[in-house]
Amino acid sequence: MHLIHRRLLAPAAATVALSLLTGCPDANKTAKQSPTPAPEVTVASPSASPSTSPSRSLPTLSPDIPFDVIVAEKKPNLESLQHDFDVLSWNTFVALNWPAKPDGQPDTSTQIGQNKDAPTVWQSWKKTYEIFLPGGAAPPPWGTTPSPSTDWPPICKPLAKDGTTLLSQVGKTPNLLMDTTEPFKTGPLIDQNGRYARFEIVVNKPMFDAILTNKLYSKEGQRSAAKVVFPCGSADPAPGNAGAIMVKASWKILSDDEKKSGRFHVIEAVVYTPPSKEPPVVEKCEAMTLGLVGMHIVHKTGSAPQWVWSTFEHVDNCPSAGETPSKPQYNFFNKTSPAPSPNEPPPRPWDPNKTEPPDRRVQVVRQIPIPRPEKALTARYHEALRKVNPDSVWLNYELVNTQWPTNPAATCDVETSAPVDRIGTPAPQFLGNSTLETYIQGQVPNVSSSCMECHANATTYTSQRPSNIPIFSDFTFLLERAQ
Amino acid sequence: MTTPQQQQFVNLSSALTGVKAAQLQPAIDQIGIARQYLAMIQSKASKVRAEDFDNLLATFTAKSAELGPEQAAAFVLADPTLGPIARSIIKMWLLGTWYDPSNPGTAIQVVSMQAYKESLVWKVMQSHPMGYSMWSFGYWAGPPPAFDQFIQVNQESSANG
Repeated sequence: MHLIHRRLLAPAAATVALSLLTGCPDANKTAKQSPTPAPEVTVASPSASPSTSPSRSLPTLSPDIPFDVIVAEKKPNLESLQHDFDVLSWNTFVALNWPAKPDGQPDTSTQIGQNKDAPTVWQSWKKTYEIFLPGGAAPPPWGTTPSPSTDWPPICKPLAKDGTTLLSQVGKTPNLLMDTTEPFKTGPLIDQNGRYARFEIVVNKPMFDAILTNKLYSKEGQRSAAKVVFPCGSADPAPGNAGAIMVKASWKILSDDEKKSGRFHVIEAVVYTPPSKEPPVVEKCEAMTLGLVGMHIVHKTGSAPQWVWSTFEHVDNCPSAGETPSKPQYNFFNKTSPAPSPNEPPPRPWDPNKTEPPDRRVQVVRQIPIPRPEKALTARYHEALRKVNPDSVWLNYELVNTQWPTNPAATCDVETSAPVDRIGTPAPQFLGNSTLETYIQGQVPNVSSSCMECHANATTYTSQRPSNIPIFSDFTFLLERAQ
Repeated sequence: MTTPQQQQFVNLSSALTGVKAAQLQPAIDQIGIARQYLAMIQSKASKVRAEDFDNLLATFTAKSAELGPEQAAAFVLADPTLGPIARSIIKMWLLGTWYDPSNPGTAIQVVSMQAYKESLVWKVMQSHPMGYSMWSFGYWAGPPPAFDQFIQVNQESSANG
């Protein structure tokens, strides 16, 4: 097996780096990793084709976050590399959703799904509202944030309990209800129960430390920034070399029947709806049970400095285009829906406190069906998960696809080392999650959802450039939230 | 998977344009623009007879073994039957558009959405397609990257510019 890189296989350079004029701190060295040997499940996999199944043994389910892709073929091609990146996606999904101890570290005394469902590793990572604080205040170092955070909206504080999650986003982008200058056609996602989906974004320790060390959490700090380069996962699997990772998750508010179904990874969260005058929305905070319906995992590695973009969905979300809907019910699709057409944002006004009537519930169809190799790989991982627990909640999640750069930047500093092909010719060219890019699915260059094409446009809020013109923020829009 | 015919087409295209074959058809080829261009020529819409195109590839391949690719390209360009097809191939790589070989000023079609943005003309001018910039915000305030960041030129073709 080989680590891939640079048009196939040069050793990954992969040191960290968030380089600013003020210095180049090695954020990777501060990351924590617990390389724990995981039990291997070795059962024949009948569903995998030879092209997607280099070995007949089932995948290893491990709590260790992979540092980078492992290239299985000596002479890789587009298809074999896609498979390798898909394996990276699934291994990362398993590690991130491993049951967590109270300190957020994986509980290696159990396996993923062994007790059906449990709080996961990524859910203890830093949430955006814990990073970009009012007035540009510095966030407390990793592991020292009071739980719950003192920065919760006052209306929510009475509901705060130790370890409770606050969900405050009604769209993938922040301030969806207030922002009239959205970069593309977007809107809230209303499920088939009439409830608004909720969203969150979290980052891991290497990424958070890079933001903290270089003061990118505030506008003031960004004014001294000459460049933003987040750390890459290293080819050297030493502790701390996992690289920067972001997770974007979409959640649906569960009905009583859905709570009992056991089909969702569940959280008990405090759901905040910010107030708005136009349209009129009442500020509200409620304790609710929500189920995971979508998950982006975005991982910057030495082999993929343009990041690896993995996306997973709940299997009941929606049918794909051209497919006959076979399930009795979907989370975001109804065979008899009165909604006018699929993948259209609901008409305004939007009020997340409401339970919307059937004609305002979004009819979602996955425009690009999940390819056969990705389905086959998911079947193999499901087989491994089923060996742990036939009722594992994770059997209800599937890989949609993985986008990766076929022409990766030569170094972790993409802006400098890939001046012409900034996005690295991603494969596949288009990728979207039906719950996170619902309204921009398709296959039109520069218009339809492509993780890397879109995020290549991300910038800081400000910089040290003349007139404080923002700078490339290394594929994350998060830095625009600095106050 | 690259067929022998596709490889011959890429070799011919490299000699005609002066751009390295590895850039025209990367080892890991996500876009497959060479495959699209080959399919364009082989379609009825191209107005190219199959035997003429086959003859072009065969002649170039034989002459290339004898004289080298640059001289072989000059040979086919001078041929009254093969030359117009070869010139349409050059224009297709540069402009993403197929021109009728028998009416060189007549564009038949833009090959595809990909062909529009992958046209070499954008790279030759050290720029990006209109409406499709993947460069960083504010790039316009500085000079563009160097020419060799955009185009990998065949060493032996450099004399042709």
